[in-house]
Amino acid sequence: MSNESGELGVKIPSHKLFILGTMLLATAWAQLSASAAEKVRFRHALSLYADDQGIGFQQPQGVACTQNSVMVVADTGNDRLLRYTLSDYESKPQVQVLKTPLTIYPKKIHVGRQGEIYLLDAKAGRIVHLSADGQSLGFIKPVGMPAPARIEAPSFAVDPNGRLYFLDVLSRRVLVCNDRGQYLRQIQFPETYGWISDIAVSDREEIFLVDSVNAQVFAARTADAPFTALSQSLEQYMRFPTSLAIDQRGRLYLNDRNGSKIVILSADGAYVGRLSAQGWRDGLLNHPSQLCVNERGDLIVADTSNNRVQIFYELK
Amino acid sequence: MQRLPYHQIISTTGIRKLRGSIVPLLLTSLLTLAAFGPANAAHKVKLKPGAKSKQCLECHEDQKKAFSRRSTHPLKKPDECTGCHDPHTSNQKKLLVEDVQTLCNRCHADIVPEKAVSRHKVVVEGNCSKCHDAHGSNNRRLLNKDGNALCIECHSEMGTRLAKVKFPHKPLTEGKGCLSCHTPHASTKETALLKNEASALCTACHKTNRPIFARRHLNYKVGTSNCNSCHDPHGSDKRDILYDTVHAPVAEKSCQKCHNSPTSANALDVKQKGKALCLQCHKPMIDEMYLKKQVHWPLADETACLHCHNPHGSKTPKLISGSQAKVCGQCHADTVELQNVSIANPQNKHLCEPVRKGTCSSCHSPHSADNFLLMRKENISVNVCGECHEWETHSTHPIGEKIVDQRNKNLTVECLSCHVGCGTGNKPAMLPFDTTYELCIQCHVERKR
Repeated sequence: MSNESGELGVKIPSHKLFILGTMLLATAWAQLSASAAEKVRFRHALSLYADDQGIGFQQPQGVACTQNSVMVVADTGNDRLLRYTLSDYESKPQVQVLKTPLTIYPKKIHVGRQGEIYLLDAKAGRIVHLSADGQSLGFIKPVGMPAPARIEAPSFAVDPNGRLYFLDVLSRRVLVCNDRGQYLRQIQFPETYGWISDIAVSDREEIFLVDSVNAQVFAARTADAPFTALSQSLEQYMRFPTSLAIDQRGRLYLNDRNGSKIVILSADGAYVGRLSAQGWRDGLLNHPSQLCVNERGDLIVADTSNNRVQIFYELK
Repeated sequence: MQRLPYHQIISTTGIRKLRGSIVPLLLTSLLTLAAFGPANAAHKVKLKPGAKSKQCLECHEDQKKAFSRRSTHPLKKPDECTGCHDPHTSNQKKLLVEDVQTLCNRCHADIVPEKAVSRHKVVVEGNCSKCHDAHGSNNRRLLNKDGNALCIECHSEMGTRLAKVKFPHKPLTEGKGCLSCHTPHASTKETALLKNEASALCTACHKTNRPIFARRHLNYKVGTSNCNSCHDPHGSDKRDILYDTVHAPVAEKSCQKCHNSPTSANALDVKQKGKALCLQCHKPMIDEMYLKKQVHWPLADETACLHCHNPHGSKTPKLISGSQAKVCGQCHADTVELQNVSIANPQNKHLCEPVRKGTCSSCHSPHSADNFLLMRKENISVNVCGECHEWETHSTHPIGEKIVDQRNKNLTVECLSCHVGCGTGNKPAMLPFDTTYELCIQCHVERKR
């Protein structure tokens, strides 16, 4: 349930809840309680359109959040990264533009604990490692993994310990490497899937994959576990997810690139609700790309075809 | 059974005594009444002679012809129009006692086996009368038309093609025609209503042990391969009914360019996997693809080019394994569905041509591009839409770099400010709103009523 202001709410009417509860009390009380308790409401807080010089974003495809209210935007069409410090949404944010030969057409990005930036160079199968102020720290390429030595990774993730997770579509696996790219282990993609587009890793090192074609999420909860379906197909709620983010409570956020909205799942993969809709005004989305959730629980969306980044905060 | 006096039956003690014998007796009586009572009552209605059939034909003279045809529906034999029609009233068309599907299924319930792999659409929809005349026909099995003529009524594209094609597949033009390979109602074995898997069907006539078969296939043992990979099963303009578009190595009979030698243990295996194999010949094109900023990711996995292309032959140009809507729809079913809804929407009389025809590549580059969403060109309004809508250069709502979108200061007004390129389903003219008014007041807020 969403509206044009980008507000989302999930509420089961009380009379229906009563009927449901009566029917299912004996068998599934705990499950019902869990879903009824999950009530999420987001509201649009801020839209970022440009740097401090007024140079507007051009189809930004990446956003990454970190501690201390720092956010990095991949301004894809302008071949640059922008580092924002957002203390609150009322005052003017501090912006630092990072434009180097290494930031050509940046798309998927992540930020480490120290504020260092990881930028995927998908065609070269490597990660560009930059310091918080945009200085090159070199490249990270996975090494020492089982054959083939070549990877094709449209996405990657970084966990809180700095470990890197490459989504290798060539060999249908996730490669887990240390912070220098040294191979640690691999996990094969699930047996059946449509097309895996993105990967996310929780603070507890649980790995999540999003299948765009079937609009489904897979999870590997422990180090030795294979990927299994976390959610059912979400086709009734969304069209084509391409990006996945996870918050500190384990809630999952999926962009619906073609349907221009955000879908939220609980930690156990149950559908919680939808946010926003297709449009041009603040709060609405047009082909959203990468998402991230900051330490305050605010959801940040690269609103690509609207040439902006939007921030939504949760109504407590 | 011992007959008891009346007083004994109604006394309490007597009932106890009789419980074992009178209850079954009562039940039997009730059941007998239920079974025969109404039937007897019905039979007592004095119908005129021939009321269930001959009398019907007095008015429905046209049906007399049907019943005089070579084959007639067995129900006709006992002269029972009322077997299917209610003589007085019905909620169904033609006073049928039930909807056609249920009615036909009364006797023909086994037409679609439970474990059918493919089902004919008309059967699923219960349109039995599309193919059969329920009363009588001069064709076998009460068919409306004989042979392929019946199939071609709906599958007209196939009919047109067969009429033109240089080398039609013989079973299609002789004997059972379409039914040589297809089953009309449902198939338990294959998709596309095929009676069996393709190789089994083909090798029933094309004996694999004959020297000519081996010679024509360059001694590769293809007896269990999918013949439809190279041959068009209906016919084509090429000899050996090869597809109209065939991969150069197939045309040159150079199978070894991609496959192992026919004498090797795994002769049909390809020499290299995925894109590596295609790179042998198509390196310049693939390298160029990778120079672009956005790559269509399916190109990168092991299946690579074969996600969309058939390596041997195809009916469609560039060896694409089907129509674009079909091929792109394998992954982008959401968009193709939207396209289909847009086409079906009667408000969309002037639907954008690429959406109507399902030619995704009119706007998107299927391999790679320098633009988001793999758009073929930058500045979509002028460079993509303008290719067809050339009038927009001299007569249109103000668009272009200088016109800022009132709703979003980072956007200029372009075609896609008002229209959605892939269609908007039930909304008109590819607009994202139900009415033009809703669209216009987005910017022209002063006009809002």
